[in-house]
Amino acid sequence: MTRSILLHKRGLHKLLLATFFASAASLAQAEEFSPAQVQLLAAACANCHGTDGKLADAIPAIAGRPVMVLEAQLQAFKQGLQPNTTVMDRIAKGYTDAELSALANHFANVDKH
Amino acid sequence: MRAPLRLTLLILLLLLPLHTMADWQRIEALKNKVGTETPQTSGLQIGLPLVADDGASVPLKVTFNGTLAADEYISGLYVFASQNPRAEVIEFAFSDAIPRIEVSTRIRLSETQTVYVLAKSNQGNLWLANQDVRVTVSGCLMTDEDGTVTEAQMSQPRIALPRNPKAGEAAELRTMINHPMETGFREDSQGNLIPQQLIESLQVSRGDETLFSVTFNTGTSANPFVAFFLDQFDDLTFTWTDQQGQQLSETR
Amino acid sequence: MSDNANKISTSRRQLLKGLGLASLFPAISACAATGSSQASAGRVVVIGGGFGGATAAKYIKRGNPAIDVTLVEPNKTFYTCPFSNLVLAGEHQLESIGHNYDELKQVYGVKVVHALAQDIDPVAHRVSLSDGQTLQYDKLLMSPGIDMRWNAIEGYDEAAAELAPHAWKAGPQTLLLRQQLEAMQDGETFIMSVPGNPFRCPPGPYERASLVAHYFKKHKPRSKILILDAKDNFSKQGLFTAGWQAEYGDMIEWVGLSNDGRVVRVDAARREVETEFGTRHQAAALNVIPPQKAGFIAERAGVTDQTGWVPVNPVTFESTLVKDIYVVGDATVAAPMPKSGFAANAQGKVAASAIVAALAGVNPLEPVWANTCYSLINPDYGISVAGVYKVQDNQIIDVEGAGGLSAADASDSVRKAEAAYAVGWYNAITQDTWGTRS
Repeated sequence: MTRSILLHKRGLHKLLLATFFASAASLAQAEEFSPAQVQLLAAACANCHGTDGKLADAIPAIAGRPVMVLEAQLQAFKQGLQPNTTVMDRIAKGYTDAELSALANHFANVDKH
Repeated sequence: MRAPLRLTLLILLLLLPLHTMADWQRIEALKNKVGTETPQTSGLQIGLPLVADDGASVPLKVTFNGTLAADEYISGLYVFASQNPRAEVIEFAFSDAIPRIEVSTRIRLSETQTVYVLAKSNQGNLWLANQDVRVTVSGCLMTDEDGTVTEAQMSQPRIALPRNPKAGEAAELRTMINHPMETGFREDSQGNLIPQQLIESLQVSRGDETLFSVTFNTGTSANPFVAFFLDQFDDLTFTWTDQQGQQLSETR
Repeated sequence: MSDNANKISTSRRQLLKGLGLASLFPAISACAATGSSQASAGRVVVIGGGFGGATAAKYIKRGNPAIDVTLVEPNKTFYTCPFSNLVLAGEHQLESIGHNYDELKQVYGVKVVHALAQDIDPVAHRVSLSDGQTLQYDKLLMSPGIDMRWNAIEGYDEAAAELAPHAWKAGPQTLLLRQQLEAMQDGETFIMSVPGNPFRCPPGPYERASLVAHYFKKHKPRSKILILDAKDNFSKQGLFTAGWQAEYGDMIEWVGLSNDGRVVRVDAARREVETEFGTRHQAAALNVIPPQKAGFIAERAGVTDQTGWVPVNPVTFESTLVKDIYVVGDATVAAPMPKSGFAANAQGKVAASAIVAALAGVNPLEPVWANTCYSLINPDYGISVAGVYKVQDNQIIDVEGAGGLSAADASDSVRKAEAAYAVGWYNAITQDTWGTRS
């Protein structure tokens, strides 16, 4: 699991650069998401985590948490490695690794307040 | 103000058919039934949902109100599903004693596809209608959750006569019988094919005269339900026959 | 192209940056204005202040605060169907599921009109309201919910619903049904009539039976619940059946379609129902959930098809029948997405994004939706079904390998956790939609 986190960290740098130059007008391509596209992807998360992922309740807030933590957590859910998970595994499996990366990056940069 | 816009859209839709009627000719069984005749395209109505959430039990209603000659009556309705493992779904046969050609049942659809209905009269004239149905969960291939196979015995025949039937006035009767209608396409949890076991037919008669009959198939939903019209409600016998030749009869 | 292309104001630049369209400045010219005043970024009218409409109004404003958004909703307080079963069970008061429009008005600048939208002129782009006003729109979004098909079940019309409530729109109907349940004697039977697909909230009726059973277990332990169903399968069936047996023994009896479960006639005054094959049942309290269709305003607008529901473009949720009208929520044909508040909220955001893009003259984005439906067998026993959806070949599809049900053999602690998450979900979604919480 540690190895996969490291791999993702390297991939994350590449992803960040790609996103910076991505064109917003095109629909999402394999590895590049425009900020607007990520915003739309992230909108679905608000239903449980509150608008912008800020709500802290029985369901934890995700806004402003470190990107590596978020990414590792999402991957753990997707790979079924998180014990006692109830629903996040079923949801994370619906997203590609690139999408999960982009989401982790998005929420990490949301101002908690 | 809305009408012109809708009309334009409707005209556009009519000019762009999603598929041609000739697609039905790819269904062998349907093609054979039609033979060299040219079916008419109006007079036959299909009631089916546009989107079926569960392909195992899709409500189907067929109504005929086309023009018939003197002494002509609709003698048969044949239902086909273009993409089902077997295209034949169900057949209805009518005597001239049937006052109204309107039948309801529940069918299985394996996937998004076109359902065709062929009507045939005693004089050999044909009518053909079709409707597309989008199916989100397949009706045919789900395995039992716990791996058990329901016993394939007919049970609990049910008949509902119209509440205040008046002789001479057409009214609807409903019939249903419990039976899993095992298609022979399903596998149990061990991966073995579950053998086919179907009810073959339902016959409704008065004395010696068969008034109405239904031929079921793999495309007929479990616990076959059939509703149809009569205008005389006395002295009726309902007989279900399965593939093993077993029969269950009820009189009303 | 006009010179304005290069003279976009600083404030507009900031708005567009918020939308993530910063790199698009050369592509957006002031010619994007539709004929309304050049200073406005467009006028949107939203009909329906529920999960779909309120969310869409908020997210359009988040996408571009310069867009003029008017929300039309007859109720000043919106009572949610989700968690209304807890009110029926006596666990919550009705007020706890009520939500107001203060945040939408004060924080997001949405104009809220408490009137009923009565007619639409899609050519003139006008909405007529019950208070005599007319509203002009560039884009119209409606989330009208459902309306009942009166008389689809013989004898069940609007008047009958006052005697045998559906409580399938929360508020007064919820209290009516609660009163009937409270008035029952111990040992008497509560009957529910449940329709065939499609209908609002597929697991809803079975959660209702569960929570009423929870109430009976404490206060009327000899009473029974009979569910007469027009279907042979229902959402989360295995989980519900196991939960009922574990928690309530044989208190709940479910009769499916193939066992003569379909109700065809109701005598609301006598609380009697008759099924397809002539069996009659008498209830002490009767809940009839009738067949449904899209809210009436959808029909008025011309966006419904022959099934009474609204077909939409899966990427934008614009009506396939009438231009410039977007429809989200229960009213739409969006299968395999279920008719749920969660889905309505998710679709509201996608449509909001599409409207903001359309008004800016850019292409819509690729949508992804998630849905999680929580049901409570009792307040400490939660189950869920989830799904992730994308668009493929112009259809909405279930993403393979994702979604699914809670485990059949989950432990008590998982059931308890899911029940707690159900509450967390409710607080999050109501905050996301109206900015309020329980």
